[in-house]
Amino acid sequence: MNQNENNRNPHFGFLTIFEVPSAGFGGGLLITSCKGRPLEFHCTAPVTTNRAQEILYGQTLKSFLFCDQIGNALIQKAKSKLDVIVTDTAELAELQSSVNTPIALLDLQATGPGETPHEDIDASLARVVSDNPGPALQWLQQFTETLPLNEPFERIQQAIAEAHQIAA
Amino acid sequence: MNDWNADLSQPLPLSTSSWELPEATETQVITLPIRARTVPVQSYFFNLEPASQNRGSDSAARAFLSSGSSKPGSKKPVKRPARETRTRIKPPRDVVKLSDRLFYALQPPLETLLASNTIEFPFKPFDFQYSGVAFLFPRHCAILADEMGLGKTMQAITSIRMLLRSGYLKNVLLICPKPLVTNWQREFALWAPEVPVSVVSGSHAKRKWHWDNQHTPVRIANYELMVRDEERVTQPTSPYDLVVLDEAQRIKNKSSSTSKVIRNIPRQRSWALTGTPIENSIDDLIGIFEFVSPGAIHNAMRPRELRREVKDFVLRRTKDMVLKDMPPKLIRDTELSLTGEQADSYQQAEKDGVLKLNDLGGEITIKHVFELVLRLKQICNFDPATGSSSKLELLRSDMEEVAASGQKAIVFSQWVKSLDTLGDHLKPFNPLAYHGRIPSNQRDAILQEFKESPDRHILLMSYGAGSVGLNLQFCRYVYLFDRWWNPAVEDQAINRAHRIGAAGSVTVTRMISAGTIEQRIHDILESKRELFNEILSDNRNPASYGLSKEEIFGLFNLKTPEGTISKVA
Repeated sequence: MNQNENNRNPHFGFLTIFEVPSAGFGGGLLITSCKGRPLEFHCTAPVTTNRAQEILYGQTLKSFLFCDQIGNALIQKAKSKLDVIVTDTAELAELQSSVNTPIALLDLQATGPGETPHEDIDASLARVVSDNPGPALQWLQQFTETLPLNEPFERIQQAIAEAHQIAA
Repeated sequence: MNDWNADLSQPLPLSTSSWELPEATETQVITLPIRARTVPVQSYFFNLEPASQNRGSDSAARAFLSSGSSKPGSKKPVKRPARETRTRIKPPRDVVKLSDRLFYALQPPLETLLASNTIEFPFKPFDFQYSGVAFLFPRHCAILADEMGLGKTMQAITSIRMLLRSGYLKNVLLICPKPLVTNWQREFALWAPEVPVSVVSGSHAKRKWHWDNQHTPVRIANYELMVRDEERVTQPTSPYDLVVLDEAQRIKNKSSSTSKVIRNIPRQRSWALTGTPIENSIDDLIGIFEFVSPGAIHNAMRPRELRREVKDFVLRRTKDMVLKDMPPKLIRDTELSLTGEQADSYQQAEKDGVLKLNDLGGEITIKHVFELVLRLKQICNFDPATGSSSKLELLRSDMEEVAASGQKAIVFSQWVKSLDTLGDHLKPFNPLAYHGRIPSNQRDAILQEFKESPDRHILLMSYGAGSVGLNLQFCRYVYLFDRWWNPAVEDQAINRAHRIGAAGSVTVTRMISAGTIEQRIHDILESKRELFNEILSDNRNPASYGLSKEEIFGLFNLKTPEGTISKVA
């Protein structure tokens, strides 16, 4: 980290995909300060795929849906400049090919999209996907001095639940 | 050889055919465009700067939650809360807008917020106390109804402290019973030492000056002043940002002058603290709600309706619910038949007493009824003529076991005379006595001896002297030889042994003489316990309530000057 990078507050994007039974998949992006304070929140309604897409995309369907459709749409809405994107959804690692911001994938063994891991996740359990991660790892370590990396995903779940409650 | 070569040089007899291909047709390509729809995204933005000066429902909360943001390059570590101790601030029901609700839902845990705002505590709060702060903090209308001893004071002070830090909450009025004023001062000094606190007291002129000129962030005044200083308290230069009522059951009677004055205090937020939101009936809770959220509940509502309505406003926890490390408390209601002698004396006394009361006609007062109740209760303890007692028989038998196992017991009674009689009969267990007739300077030594001497197995205590402030958690057995009028006092007595640090499970034996006045009182109190639990609690923990005037008259199916009261037992 150079001096300039040291002197500014990195912005963290916590990106996740959640499944809504019989309605498809949705996404949430919570952007926080280094202390975990919320700056922006973006979410999508559940998105479904049609039969033609299922046939034509085959095994790449999830990647198309999670990255091209939901992930990109969420990241494009961010007003803050993201310094690192943390995701708990393995398929979203592929987003790295289309965004410059380093993406860190949390190692949430035995958990799927929208599920909460049983243990607190430290920076050591985050894998930065980018070939050029820059100071991403240091920022992740800085974040975990205040909160574990999986904590913001709990908030996203709460927020999604609030939104569903209001919509119901 | 030459022939062979000649043969090879001959052309092969091949026949050839030619076909003419028809003109090639162009392949038809069908293009199926895969249209990727744009996914609509809902966006919410949260300002890190303090909110504008509007007095919206959550502006102050926003300010605190937005403050304490890290400065560039700041390296000060913030203590990370463990997963099991992450307390979330949940949006109250009166916050309706989704963006506002999300603002709360997306905040980091309360522990992180407090740490990054450098709010320090003299002791680490319990998790349930964080939950209490998370409950009060975003609410404009709230009743914190925790069981006594769980730290309502600390939770209120911390919430006030957080809101003061926001800069939006500038003037708080805290109203409490007069004897508790100094306690509040002390607690503020402990839990919020940086918050200036003043007390409204003294002569009329001094108080007038105080109301008009003293502008500390927190003012403490007592209930008694409300009516006397009505003009000042209800017409402040600007509305109070917050009015907190401690022991809020003091305004349960909404037609009382104090309640009327307090309800007229102009204010933004209204918090009530009470361990006994329902002392006698639903009207008590309605009276408190008239201050907190006027009109939210009324007495035509059924318990289930009430429960639904009050749910978002009231937070009630008991020790059993939140102090998981506490050993269990086993309550044993022992119904005993009176001895023959006791039964004869009791029937005669009741018959004579009721006749006398009826003779009084319109002159009857609660004092007359009370005297009869006391007389009958005394007979339930000991027969006045012979001294026989079924309760004593049980206690003596139990004490054999308690002493044999090297344990100790506390026996409570409301009468010193009963304690003296017990002392005479329980000599083999080396009883010690602790009651109002024991000089203050001897009391500590008695407790010390009881604690340290292995031969002292029983401590005879009066409710008045022994119910508050003593730590006797080395005792595993508590006997309520007779019952106090208000279970809040009984709970205090039980809590001498059943408290943090208790050595093991505590067995509480409540002695009830079957078919007597004790049984009737017990039944009324139990029915109130059920009502209380139905509205405020999911569990069966004891609540606090006493007998009303009507219920005392009703014990004997008597008429009060206001009308007939049906018999309750």
